[in-house]
Formats: sequence, C-alpha cells, structure tokens
Amino acid sequence: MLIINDLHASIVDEKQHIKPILRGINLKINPGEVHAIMGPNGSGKSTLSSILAGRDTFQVTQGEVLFDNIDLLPLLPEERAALGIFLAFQYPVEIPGVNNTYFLKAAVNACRKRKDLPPLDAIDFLALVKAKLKEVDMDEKFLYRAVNEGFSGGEKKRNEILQMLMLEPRLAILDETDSGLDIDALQAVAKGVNSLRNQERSFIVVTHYQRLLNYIVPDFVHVMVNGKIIKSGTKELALELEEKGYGWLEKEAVV
Amino acid sequence: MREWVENCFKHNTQFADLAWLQDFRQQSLAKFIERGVPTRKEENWKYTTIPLPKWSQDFTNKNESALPNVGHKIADAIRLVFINGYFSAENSFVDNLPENCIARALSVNSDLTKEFLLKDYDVQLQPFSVLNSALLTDGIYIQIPKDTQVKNPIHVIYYHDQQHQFSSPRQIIQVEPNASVDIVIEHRGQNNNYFVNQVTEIEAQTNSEINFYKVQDEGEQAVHLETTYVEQQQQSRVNIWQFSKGGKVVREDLHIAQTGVGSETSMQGFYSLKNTAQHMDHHLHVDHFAEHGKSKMVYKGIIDNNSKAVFNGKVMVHPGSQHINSHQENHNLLLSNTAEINTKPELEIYADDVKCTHGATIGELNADALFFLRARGIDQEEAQKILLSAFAKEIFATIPNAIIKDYIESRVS
Repeated sequence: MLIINDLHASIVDEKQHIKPILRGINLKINPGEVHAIMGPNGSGKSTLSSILAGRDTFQVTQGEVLFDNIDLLPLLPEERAALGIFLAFQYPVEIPGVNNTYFLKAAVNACRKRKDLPPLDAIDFLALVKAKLKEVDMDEKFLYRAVNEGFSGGEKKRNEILQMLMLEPRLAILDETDSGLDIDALQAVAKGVNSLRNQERSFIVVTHYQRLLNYIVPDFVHVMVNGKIIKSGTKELALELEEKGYGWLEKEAVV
Repeated sequence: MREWVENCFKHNTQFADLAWLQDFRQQSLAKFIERGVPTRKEENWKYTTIPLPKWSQDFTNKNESALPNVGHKIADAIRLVFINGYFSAENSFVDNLPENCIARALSVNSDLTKEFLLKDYDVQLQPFSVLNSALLTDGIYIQIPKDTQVKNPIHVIYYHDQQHQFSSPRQIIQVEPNASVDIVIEHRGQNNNYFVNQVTEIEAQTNSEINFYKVQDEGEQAVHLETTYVEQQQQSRVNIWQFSKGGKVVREDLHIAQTGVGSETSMQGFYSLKNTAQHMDHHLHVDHFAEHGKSKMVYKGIIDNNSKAVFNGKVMVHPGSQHINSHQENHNLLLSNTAEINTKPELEIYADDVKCTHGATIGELNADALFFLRARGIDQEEAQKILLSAFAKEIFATIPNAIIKDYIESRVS
C-alpha cells in the first residue's frame, strides 16, 4: 500500500541554512498493518508524518513515496486526503469562527466529491456525526463550537479521531496523538483507532512512549534516530525500548 | 481640476429654480477652487490622493435606466432608488413608511430642507463636503418624529451604470426623541469610470436609536468619497456599519460628536480589497464632548494583490468629559506580498477619569489552519474562503436585525 524508498528531506531555517532532517527512510506498509514509529525528539518522526500529508515547508531532496503505486509527492494535501491519507495532528490548530460541524461536513463532502459520490445532506450528516461522537466519548456541544477553539489537549485529540472516523481513511498517520493525554482520553483515542482496524486499512502510529501501544497493538515497531530507521522489529521491541531507552540503539547506529 | 469642477457645476441643472441654493452652490464652488484638492502633505491625507476626473461629462445622457435585479431584496423595506445620481420614483417603494415619517428624495420640495442644505462646511478641513454643496445632485431627507419606532428598514440604493458620470448626493437624517430607525445605504455600479462624492448628516436626538448601515459596492473603476457627520444628543445610541468592497479609490470620513451626556456609539467595519489595485481609506473621528459616553470601533480588512488600505481611528476626550469608555480595534489580513495597510488608532485625552483602549494587528492567513483544512480534503480555494469568512464573521455577527444581516452578507461576501 505505502512504499517509501530512500527518502531524504530538509528544511530551510530562518538563516537560510539548509538542514537535513530525513536521511534515507525506507518503509513498506501492507494493507491492514499497524506500524509504530518510535524515536527520540528531533529524530524526524513528525517531519515524516507531515511530508506524507503534503506539508510544503519541507523539501524532499531525494527518494520517492508510492501509495497504491501512485507517486504521492507531487500531489496536493487535498488530493492525498481524497486518496485516503489522514494525518492526526500532534498540535491540532484552533480555527476561531469556523464551526466544527460546518468544517466536518465540508471535509466529508469534499472527499466524497473527489470520489464522485453525492454530498451528504444535513440530516444524514448529523446522524452520522452523532453516532461517531459516541465512539470517542465526546459531548454533542463540541459540534457547535469553533474548530478546536478553547478545547483541552484531550478534547483536541478526540476531535482528531472524530475526523478520522468520519473520513474513514485508508492510511491513518497518528502523530504523537498520545502526547499530553490522560488515561481516559488515551483509551478513547485507542478505541476509535481499533474500531477502524481491518484488513484494508493501515496505520502509522508515531509515539515517544510504549504506553499507547498497550492499547493500539502494532504489527511492527521501527526506531527512528537522526533521520533514519535504525532498527525494526515486532511489538517486543517497544517494550525493550521502554526499558533501556534509545541510547543503546544510538550507539549501535554510530558503529 | 478646475475645468472639470466648473464644467460639472455649469451643466448641473438640478435645483435650478431655487435662487438661494444656486447662490450657495456658487459660493461653495469658489471656496473649493480656492482651497484645492488636499495633498499628501496634509496629515489627514497622508496616504490618499483623490484623483479628480479628467473626463468631461456627457450631460445629454441623463436618461433613466432600470435598476438591475440583484435577486435579493430586504423584505418589506421602504426603498428609495437613485440612478446615476437622480431619484427614480418608479424603482422606489415607500408604502411601508409610517404616515408621520418623512423619507423622500431631497429634490422633492427642497425648500423644507433649506437650513440643512445651506450648511457651511469648513473648507480647509472638509473640502469634499464643500464640493458636495457646489455640485449637489440629489439625496435623501429622512425625519422620524418623536416616540416613533420604524419597524421596516429604509433601504436607499444609489446605482450607476453610465460612463463619466458624477453624482453628489446629500443625505439628511433626523431622528427625534425616543424614536428609532434602521437605515441601509447601498452603492452599486457597473464597471464604468464615475465619481461619487456623498455627504451624510445624522442628528440623533435625546434617547433615540439609529442603526445605520452602509454597503459600498461601486464599479471597479469608480471613485467613491463619503463624509458622514453624526451629532448625538443625550442618551442617544447610534450604531454604524460600514462594508466596503468596490471602487478604485475610496475614502470614508466619519465624524461622531457626542454632545449629550450618556451617548453611545458603535462603529463596525469590514473592508475587502480583492481587485487588482484598489485604494481604500477609512478615517474615523469621535469627539466626546459630554460625560458618561461610550464609543467602540471594530474594523477588519482583507487586502489582496497590489491594493492599499488605510485605517485611522481617532478618539478625542474633551476637557471635562469624565467617565468615558472607549475602545478601538483594527485587524488586517494581507493576502499578497504587495498588499499594504497603514493603520493608526489614536487617542487624545483631556480628562482624568476615563477608560480608553486601542489596538491594531496586521497578519496573513494562518498557514497551519490552511494546511489543516487541506489535509482534510478541502481544496485550497475553499479553505481560504472558509478562513476569510471566519475572519469577517465577527463583524457580521454584530448586526442585530436578521433580515438586514442576511441581505448584507449576500451582497458583501
């Protein structure tokens, strides 16, 4: 489903210096698989997530990304969303003045339009969104507020998962969705993700901590250090990392 | 400059039968010519030069055209329509006006409004008001007697569809004690080169309430000037909305004088400069001459391409005017690297027990929000539209009358 070949990317900082962030990522994800990407701060995990979703603040300098054999990199963010790629943001942005329901409906119908499906009318949409709200234990009042405005950290992340449930992506990328979550919100997020798991749908779960992986059990775990995946394994690798930290792998990587 | 003004003056046959007005027009013309068009050396005109037309008007072309249907009307409104500067009775509709009220064209029975028309403006400070007197074409006279609440809005439409046309409307609005009224003034036009120079005088008597809306949607090449003078007597409440999107060069001057104790003024504005190179200047001036007054300005603007906007909001608290509460805000979004805004909220305070705040911001569309919307499948154009309308929403949300709000939103956004 997703193939990343030798992906290199950089960012240009305020002083116009080019700073490499990804230094040759290789990753293959098949339908139905859950891949966890772990690693210390600054290793490039969030950059990889952003590049997959189409953020143009990074420059891809080498390599390719194929999604169902389609070259992903030239596509606009909205085109990637229509193909079924979803990024749950690490820091969901607050958008004052834009009603959450209005936004959700615009997003759902934009994706439907690209698939040549008729738009959902107000009644069908509301019935759907109310059902999905329950799955993430969100109160209905969040539908009538501005997108993420004044939401707590946990509410913002639940709102991300709500969007994921509404859009039913084929590949969902969760960028540190667990950061800043209490245990209830963490469970609600995991419940939302698990309800979507099936043979066709894949996930990339980016996280610092093993904790989330108790709830969303991955098929594979990759460790990213300094812009490269330096070790891959199964869920046991996450436990090992929790115990030993990243230091031993960083040393191995240098050797 | 002189040639154009004199030519317009000479050929303007409106009010020809009123000797007192012709004399006054003549004097005003002389004053304006002597004063000249303000230059950028003057503080009030630092960022804006008004290009007086070079064309000479074709005066044979005064025939009336029909007002094009814009699809949407303000339901049950009292309508007064002016086409190319002159009153059009067949497009107007005044049946919903209460019998004791007056709302009519200035050109009808002008003797009644003599005291207003002979107003001598300060030519140094307000040259274009003097020019308005010199070239007077028509306008409106609205009078609401005391204790009368006018339920249906009064909707005044000025429509221009002729090339090389000038119009010089005067609007006189008098609201007596304890009366209230909603007035919507709208300017529309075809894509022609024309010149509108309007003056509005509003007198809000004791404990009256006026909601005054202006929608400026002139044609892309038009020059539009308006000077509005508001006098507020005690406990009066005047709420003003200015929506501006059309025209090539636009200047709005708004002067509020709170002469009575406990007056309240709210001023809201939204300007949208999306054409290639528009220039729009809002100058607001509030004089607090009396105690316990309130004033509030909230203006927002969107500036794109090579357009330039100017905002200058000044609040003056005069000696002895204690317990004033005043707030000014101006927020701008620049959508291109060549768009420009000059904003200056100002306070001048000569009393010691007042509460006055002001602030201005200039920014661009939030790139994170834009990416967020696009990552959810909403295309760039639509995402931008959503964010821009969210920005403007705060201003539209202040309109208390739902029918007027819907109408203005449909006309402006």
